[in-house]
Amino acid sequence: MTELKTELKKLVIDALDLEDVTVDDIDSSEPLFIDGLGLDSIDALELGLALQKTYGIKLAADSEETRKHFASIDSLAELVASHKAA
Amino acid sequence: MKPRHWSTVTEAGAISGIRFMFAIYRWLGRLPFRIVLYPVILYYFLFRGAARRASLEYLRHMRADNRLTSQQPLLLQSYRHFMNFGESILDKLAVWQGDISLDSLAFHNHEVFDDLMHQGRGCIMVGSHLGNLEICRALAKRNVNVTVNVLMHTAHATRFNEMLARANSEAHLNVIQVSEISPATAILLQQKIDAGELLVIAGDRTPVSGQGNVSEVSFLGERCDMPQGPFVLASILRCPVLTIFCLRRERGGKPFFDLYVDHFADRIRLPRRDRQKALQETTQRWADLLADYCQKAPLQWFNFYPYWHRSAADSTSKQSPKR
Repeated sequence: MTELKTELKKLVIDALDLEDVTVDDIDSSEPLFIDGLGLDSIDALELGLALQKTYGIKLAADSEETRKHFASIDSLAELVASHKAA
Repeated sequence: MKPRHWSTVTEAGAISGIRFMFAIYRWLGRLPFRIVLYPVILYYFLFRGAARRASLEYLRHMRADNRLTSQQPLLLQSYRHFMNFGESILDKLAVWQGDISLDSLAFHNHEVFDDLMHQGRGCIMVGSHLGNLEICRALAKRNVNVTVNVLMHTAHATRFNEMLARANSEAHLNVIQVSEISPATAILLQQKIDAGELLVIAGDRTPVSGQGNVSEVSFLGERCDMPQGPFVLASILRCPVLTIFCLRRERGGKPFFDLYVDHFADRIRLPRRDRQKALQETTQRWADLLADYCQKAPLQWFNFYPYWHRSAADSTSKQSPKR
């Protein structure tokens, strides 16, 4: 799981072009959007596309659910892990 | 009274009226249709005050910006503006019925488009409610081997689409209804671009969700909001952007259409630091182009709601003096 979280941090940094941010700067439990990393709605779309490309994850149309998955690195890791298991 | 957002204005109300008019056209032809259209449009012109005021506001801006060649009184031009709208509805139905063919269309600047298609690259085409894009959609469906998807706001125009579907069962195909772009929609649209398909999006109507996602631009000499959506989408899909306009004129008593496609950007880049600034510059460039095309066909501007009313004016404008 730790490995996956590091992997996801890298994915977030690469997909969103976060120049000054390193893997160590991101706290897994910290919110990604608005507070914390301060990502915006455009970033959310980029992140969705990156997840699809990397892990083949298709997000449900329900935006409330997506918001929960995108809350933090922890919740993203859960999403990816459950997708891999399925 | 608070001006209404375009999405809350019902489609000129009477669908049954349109159906009746279409029956006249179908059985008797375009001339009788026109004879009936005059009083019908006069009725709308007299009793749809909000639409008339919106039309006059637009025409005043056009004149002030030196984009209106006709010296006719604005009230008369406004009535003709309404007439153009009536004709455009008929054209939409007529084209799906097969009465308007490729012979009635001139495709200007088509190299831009051909190049992309040869490369098998999908792209975003930003359109507007100036002119009649339905003509292109219908003709593309029948004649061209490329998939054209139209992104439409969910809330609107479903009943009219049902009528189109009755004129031609293919009319409902490839219309993607969205109210906001979610990550799930983005993935779906990415697949379409990757498959070399086209995505047509209107760039002249602000999002239904209201707040945000708009940039303040100068359009026909006054500040207004333009949607950022098409350009945000282009940036995340990393695809080229073209603009598309389909303007009408008469040739030998029959409708004839000029299709203009322009290259807008190979890719839209929105660097994190200057995202809003980059978006503002891009939407302004679009607004300028839109204004130039308005000049080509002033009375084909089919946005009959207060266009310069800015929904988010108070919350987003920073210290701009209140009028």
